[in-house]
Amino acid sequence: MSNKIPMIVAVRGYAVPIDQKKKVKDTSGKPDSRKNRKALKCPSDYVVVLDTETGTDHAQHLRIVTHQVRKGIELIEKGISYEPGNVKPGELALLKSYCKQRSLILRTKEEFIRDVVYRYGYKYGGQIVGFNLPFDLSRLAISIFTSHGKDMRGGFSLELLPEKWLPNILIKHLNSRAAFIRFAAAPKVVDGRGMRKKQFKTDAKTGYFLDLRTFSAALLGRAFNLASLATLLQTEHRKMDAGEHGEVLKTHYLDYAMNDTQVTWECHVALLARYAEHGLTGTPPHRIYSEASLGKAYLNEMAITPWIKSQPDFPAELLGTVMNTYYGGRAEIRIRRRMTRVLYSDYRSMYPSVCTLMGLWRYVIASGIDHEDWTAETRELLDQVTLADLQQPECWKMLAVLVQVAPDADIFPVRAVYGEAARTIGLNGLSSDQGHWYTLADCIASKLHSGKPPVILKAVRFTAKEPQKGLKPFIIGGDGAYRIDPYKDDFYRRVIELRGQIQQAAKQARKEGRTEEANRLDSYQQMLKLLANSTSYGIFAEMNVQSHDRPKGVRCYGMEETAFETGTRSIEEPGTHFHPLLATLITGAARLMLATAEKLAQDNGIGWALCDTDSLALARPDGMADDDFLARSARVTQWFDALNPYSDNKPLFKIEDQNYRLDGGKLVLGEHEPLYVIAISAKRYVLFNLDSENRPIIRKALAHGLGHWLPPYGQDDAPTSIPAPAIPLSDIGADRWHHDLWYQIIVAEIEGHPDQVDLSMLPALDRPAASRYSASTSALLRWFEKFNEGRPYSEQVKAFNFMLSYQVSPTALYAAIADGEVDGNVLDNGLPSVAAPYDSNPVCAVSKCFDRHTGQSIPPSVLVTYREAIADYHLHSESKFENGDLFDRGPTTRRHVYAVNIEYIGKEANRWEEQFFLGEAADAQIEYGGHPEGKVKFFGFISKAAKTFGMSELARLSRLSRQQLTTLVGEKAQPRSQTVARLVCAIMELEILHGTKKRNGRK
Amino acid sequence: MSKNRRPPDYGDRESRFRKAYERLGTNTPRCLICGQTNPLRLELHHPAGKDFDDETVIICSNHHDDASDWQHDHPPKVEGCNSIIEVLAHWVFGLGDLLKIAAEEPSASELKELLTYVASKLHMLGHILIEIARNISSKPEGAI
Repeated sequence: MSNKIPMIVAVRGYAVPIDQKKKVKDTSGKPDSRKNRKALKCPSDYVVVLDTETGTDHAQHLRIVTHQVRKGIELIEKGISYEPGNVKPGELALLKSYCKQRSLILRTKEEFIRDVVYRYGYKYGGQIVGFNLPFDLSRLAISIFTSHGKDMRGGFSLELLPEKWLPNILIKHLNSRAAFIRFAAAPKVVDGRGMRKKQFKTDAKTGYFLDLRTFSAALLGRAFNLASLATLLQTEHRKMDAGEHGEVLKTHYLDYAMNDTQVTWECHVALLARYAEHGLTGTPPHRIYSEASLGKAYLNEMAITPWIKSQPDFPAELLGTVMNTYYGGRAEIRIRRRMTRVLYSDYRSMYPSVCTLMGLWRYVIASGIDHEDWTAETRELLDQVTLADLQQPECWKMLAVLVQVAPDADIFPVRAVYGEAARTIGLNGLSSDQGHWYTLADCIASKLHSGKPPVILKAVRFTAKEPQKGLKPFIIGGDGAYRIDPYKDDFYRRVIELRGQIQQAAKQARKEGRTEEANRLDSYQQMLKLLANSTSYGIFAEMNVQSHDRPKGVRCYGMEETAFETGTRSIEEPGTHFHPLLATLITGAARLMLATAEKLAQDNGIGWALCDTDSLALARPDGMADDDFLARSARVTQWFDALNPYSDNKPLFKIEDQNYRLDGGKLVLGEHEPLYVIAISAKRYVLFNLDSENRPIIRKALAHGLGHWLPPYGQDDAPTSIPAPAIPLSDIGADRWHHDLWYQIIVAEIEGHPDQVDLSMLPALDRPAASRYSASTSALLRWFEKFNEGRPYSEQVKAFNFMLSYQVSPTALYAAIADGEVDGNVLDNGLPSVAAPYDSNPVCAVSKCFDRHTGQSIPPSVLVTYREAIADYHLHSESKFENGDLFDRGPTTRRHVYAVNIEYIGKEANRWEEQFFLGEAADAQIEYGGHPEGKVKFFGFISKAAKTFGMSELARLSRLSRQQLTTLVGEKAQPRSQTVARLVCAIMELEILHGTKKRNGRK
Repeated sequence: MSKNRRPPDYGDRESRFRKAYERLGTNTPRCLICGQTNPLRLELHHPAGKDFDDETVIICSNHHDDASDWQHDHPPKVEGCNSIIEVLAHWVFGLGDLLKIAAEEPSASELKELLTYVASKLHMLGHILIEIARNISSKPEGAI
C-alpha cells in the first residue's frame, strides 16, 4: 500500500425534504368525505396503431402517418394521414389514388388527431400503440412546452390541436428505452355540479400508451428495432426496405409505411401473448417500463407489501446509516496494460445467489425489520472468522449486520475523487479519525485482504419480523412446475433454477437446428435473468430524482449522531420497493465473494488480473506451468461448490466459455485454450487467444468509453488487413471497429511497443467522430434554443428529433478561420457546438453540420476524427490505484486514503444520459455537502496545511487566489466541492514534495 | 368559434359507454342479480347504505330502485353509536335485500324458497345486531 493520502471521502446520505408534509390523521372521527373515483386500470378493446414517416432534414417534419384502428383483433379502419404543408400536389394525388384503390381512409394530420387519436385513444379509452412512440407523437404536435407536472417535471407537453379543451400529451423520457407517456388532465371540470356536491372527485383520464420498444425490451431482456423484433417474434409480415426516406412519395414507400403499421400490430399481439404467459393480471402491459417493472409486478401478484409501506416509521437516522454503507459492485484491474494468461470465471447469477445464501427473501416478505445491538457478537465473529467458515452456507445467513469501524489501514470500498477524474469507488486502504459504517461482509473482506480484523466501534443486527399476512402463491412464467409459495419457497432460487432449465432447453434446440425456438428460449432465459436481478437488487436500490428549479431544503442523515440541513435542487424519492438494507447487504456480500476468490487465489499461489462485479480473471504468475496454473485455478473455482444454493449441480463460480477452445468457430467445452487479457482500466479490457502464428483471436472485448460513438465502418467495409472475428461480434460484445481497435492494441503489446498502437490500416478513423442522440430532455433540446429562435415551429429542431453531434478541433478551426473557410463569428459563443440531422451514414451527415448557436455551417475539416478521439484509449488511467497513470504498466497497488472529511452524496447515476452528451453537469451530481462538525475539522486541516507549507505555495498549487484561501482558512466561506478537491490534491502534492511524515490533524 | 371555448359535446354512443364504464370502475360490468351488461343501465349500489359503508356493488337501475326502497325499512342510525356491530348489521340487512330481490327473478324460481328463507334469517340477524349496538351505545363509558 502507498503512503497515506489525505482525501475527502464521499458516502451516500439519506435526505428527506424538510417541508415534506406528513399526512395528519383526522382525529375528528368523521370519515373522509371525499370519494375518489379512480381511472380504469385497463384500456377498452380499441387499439390505435400508428407510425409516422418524416423528412430527413434537421426538423424531421412529419410527412405521413399510417394507422390502424382495431376493436379486439377486428380491424375497424386503416388509413394514411398527411401533413398538408409537407406533401406536394403530385404526392397528394398519389395518396388519393393509393387510398382509393386499397379502401384506405385518407385524412389530414389534424383530422387524424381529432378523429382517431382523441376519439379512440381518449374518448373511447383505447390503447395507443407504436414503436418509439415519443418520436411519433412529437411529430404530430403543433407546439411543444416543458412540462411542470409533479411526475412529469423536465418532460415535454405536446399540444396536438388548437382546441384548448383537449388535453395535451405529456412525455417524460426515462432512458434510451422507456418514457412515461400520458394525457394531461383535461382543462375542464370532469365532475358535474351534482357529483361535486356529493364530494366526488374523478381521476383525470391519462390514456393508455404502449410503446413496443419499451415493452419488448422489458419483456425480452434486450433492445430491439422493429425489424429485429418482428424476426424474433416470427410475425407474419416483416419490415420492408424503405429505399430512401425524405424522397418524393412513391407507391413502394407507401407500401412500406402501411406494412410498418401492420408489423407493429403483429408485434403487439405477439408481445401480449408473451406477457400473458407471465400471468401478471394485476399489472396492465402499459405499466411495464423495464425488467424492474416486471419484478415489481411479480411481487405485487404475490400481494407483497413494499417495506416502506409496511414499516413507514423506521427511524430515519438508521436509514442514514444503512445508506452510508451502500456501494455498488467492484470493477477493478490488478494487472494493467500487460498481456497476462488468465482463467476467466464468473459467479452464477451473483445477486440472486447471495440473496438466497443470505436468506433475504424472508426480509422481502416480512412485515418489518427489527434491529438490535450486536457489537460483542460481531467482534467475536470477526476475530474468529476464517475462509473455512465462509464455505458454510449458514455463515452467510449471519451477515445481516452493519458495523461502525475505526478504520486504520483497513481495506474498504472508498468513494473519492482520485486524480482529476470524477468520483469513483476503489477498494483501497482507509484510515480515519471518525467511525465509518460498512456491512459485516465488507469487514470480513477487509480481514481477508489485510489479515487483521477492523476495530469495531458498534454493530447493529437486522432481523426480519414475522411474514406479512395474506401472501398469495404464484406461478412463474405460467409454468405449472414453478409454483412459488412465498411462505415456503425462496423466489430467487426458483427463478434461477427455471432459468437453468430454459438455458438447457435452448442449447438442445440449437443443437437440433431449431434456431427459432432456441432464440425464443434464449430471450426468455435472458428475461428471467433480468427478472431475478431486478427483484434481487435493482428495485431495492431504486431512487427517483425529481429536479426543481430552486433549491429545496433537505435534512440529511449520515454517520454523525445528528442530521444536518442543507439545500439541493435534486430531491431523491424512494422507489416503490426501496429497501436500502437489502441493497447494501447484497452488494456487500457480492464484494465478499470476490474477496474470497482473491484470497483463495493468493493462498494457491496465483494472482488475478481484473474483476467486474461478478467476474474475476485469475492470473498465471510468471514462470508457472499452464497445467499447474489450471489445477490451482480449479481449486479456487471448486471451493465455491459447497455454497451452491441451487438444486442442480452447476458450479457457482463457473469457468466461462471464453476459456475453451474454438474449433472452426464452434466451442469445444472442456478443452482449455490459453486465454490472455489486456486490461487498461476498470471495464476496459479484452480477452483473447493466440493462434499458431501468434495472432490474436478476440473472445471478449468491452467497449467502455467507445460505445457512444457511431461505428465509423461496419462489418462489410472492414479492412482486410485485420482478420475477421472468429466468433460472432454479438458473442464478443463489441462492434467490428471496437474489435479492430482492440486487435491492434494486442498486436502492439505482442510486438513490444504497447504505447504506440498502429491504426494506419483503419482509414475510416479519419472520418469525423459522430455520436447519435435524441433531444429527449429539455436540457438536450435547449442545445438548439438559439438555432430555433425566429424559425417557425415546423422548421425547428423539435423534441425527440434524432441528431448527430460532433466535436471541433480547435487548431483545425483556427486554421480554417485564418483561411477564410469559416466565419470568425462562430467563436462568439466559444468553440462551436456542432450538430447535424441524423443520417444512418455519418459520412453523408457531415456535409450538413452546423453550429447550433449560430446556425452557421461547419466544414468537416475542422471536426475531431475518430483517430484523434481514441488516440489515448489504450493509455486510459486507472487513477483509483497506484501505478495506474497513463504510461504505467504492470501490477496496480492499493492507495492508502486518509479521510480528512466526509461528504454526503445522493444517487450517483443521476441524469447520466444528459451528462453523457453534455459533459459532467454540476447540478446532476446530488451533493449534500458535509456535516457541520466535519467541516470544522476540515477547516482545521486546511489551516494546518497552510501553516506547514505556506499560504502562497498552497494557493499556487490549488489554483486559488491568496484571498480565496485566506477566506477559507478563516472559515468565512463555504468551499464548493471542486474547490475542496483542488485543495486536497494540492495538499497531497505538497506532502509528497516535502516528503513529510507528519499527517495533519491525525493526532 | 373560439378555440378556448368548448362546444357542447355529449359524445357518441361508444364514448358514453366508456364514461359509464369509468363510472362503474370496470370494463366488464354486470348486474349482480340479473346479469344485465349494458353499462348505461347499470348503477352502483351501497348494500349497507351510504351512511355505513362506502363499498358498492353493480346492479341494474330497476334492481337498484328496488334495493334502495328496501333500505327505507332498515332501522335508523343508532344515536351516538360508533360500533362496528351496527355496520355489520346494515351489511346483513343489505345482503338480505339482495337475496330477496334475487328470489323474485324468474331464473331463480327453483331457489326462491331457499333465497327467501336465507333473506329472512339475515334480516332477523340484523335486528339482533342492532339491539346489541343499541345496548353498547346506551352503556356509560368504561362499563363492561
